[in-house]
Amino acid sequence: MRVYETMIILDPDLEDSGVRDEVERVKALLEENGGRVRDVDFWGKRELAYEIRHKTEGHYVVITADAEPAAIDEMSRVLKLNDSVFRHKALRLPDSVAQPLS
Amino acid sequence: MAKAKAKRRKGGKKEFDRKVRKKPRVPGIEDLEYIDYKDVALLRQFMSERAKIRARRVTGLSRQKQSEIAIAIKNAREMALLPYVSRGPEGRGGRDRGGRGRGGGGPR
Repeated sequence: MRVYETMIILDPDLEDSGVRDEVERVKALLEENGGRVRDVDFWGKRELAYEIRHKTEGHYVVITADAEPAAIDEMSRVLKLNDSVFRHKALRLPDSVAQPLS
Repeated sequence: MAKAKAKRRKGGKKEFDRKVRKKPRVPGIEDLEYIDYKDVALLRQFMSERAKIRARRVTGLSRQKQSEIAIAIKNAREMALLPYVSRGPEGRGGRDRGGRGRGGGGPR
């Protein structure tokens, strides 16, 4: 298991509850695949540096989770198919940064 | 770059290359073990007003750190945290001294 940090940009037209629903779905998916979510950071609505799909804002969420690579691949696949997800990026945190889970 | 160097060398002795260790414009940056692409304020210091990544000869970073900064900026750009292009602050025409497109406006 490795520590991954995933950032997701969601459609600004979603309500906060909608954002939470999407995040819950991602969490569930990760956990189904043996992952463990450490932290979810809701940044809220943030202005985009450039327009994406003719929108100037987006909901930003950062999810930190322990997971197997396969689980991350699956999550990325699902996020790509989701129309309210504008962008997503999953990075593996270097071991020096990711503190072991207590 | 190579051209300019050759010119300066003219007549001089080749051995005396500039060995002066340039200091980074952002102190302490070399000690960071991880450059976070989410740290927009940090990364902006390594970009020009036009949102270009500053050259290593300007930033004074080590090769390793310059690379990490560049990758972080590119990641941040993908996530729309930083712009790919920017006109920079208003009211300053033609700030970029790089070639193309002289006169007002600039690439956009």
